[in-house]
Amino acid sequence: MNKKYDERQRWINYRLSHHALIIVFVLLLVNGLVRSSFEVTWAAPMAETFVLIALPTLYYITRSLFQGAYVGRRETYGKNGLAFAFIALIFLGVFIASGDAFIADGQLAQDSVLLLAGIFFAYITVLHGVKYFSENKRV
Amino acid sequence: MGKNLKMKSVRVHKDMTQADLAARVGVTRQTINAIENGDYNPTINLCIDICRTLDVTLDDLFWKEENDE
Repeated sequence: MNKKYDERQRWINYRLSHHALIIVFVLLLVNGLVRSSFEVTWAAPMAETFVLIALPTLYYITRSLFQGAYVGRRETYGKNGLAFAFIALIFLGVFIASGDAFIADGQLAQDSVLLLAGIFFAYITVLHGVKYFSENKRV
Repeated sequence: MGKNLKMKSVRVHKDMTQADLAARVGVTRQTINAIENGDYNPTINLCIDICRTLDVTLDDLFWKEENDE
């Protein structure tokens, strides 16, 4: 048994994981239909993969955080938020330093993954910040 | 599922916060809050832990008469 989370947190996380899996199926199906039916390539392979993974992950993390199920019993929103902020800064810093284009030839460029990952982790940082302040305000 | 006002009443009577009770039974404060608000139906093991911590029986906290709904 996973002792990191209590029984309500595990129940919520199982439920949200199931939702996220369904979102993955739908996104893959829609992406496949768009690519094969309209012969549209909207992103480089790595960028496409990142978007398809990031969207259900963001759904899961957002709902889990706001239902108090993402952070374990011995973790804090502050520490987790700082860790995610550090990762976001690294990705954003590398993207800015590289000077690569976000869009090339009408599609998301290969190196746009750095910016997307930076935004991804920055969003998670903001969510942790909101939860941190709302929890501290409550006490 | 209605609010568990009995549990809240006993906890307050024992001068415990949700965080105190959560720490004693090994769950998060949000879980205690969800049980008191009727948003989460706890397992029998957690019910027993809560009852032991508050020195009451399962009937005192979790038994519902038909007209309680």
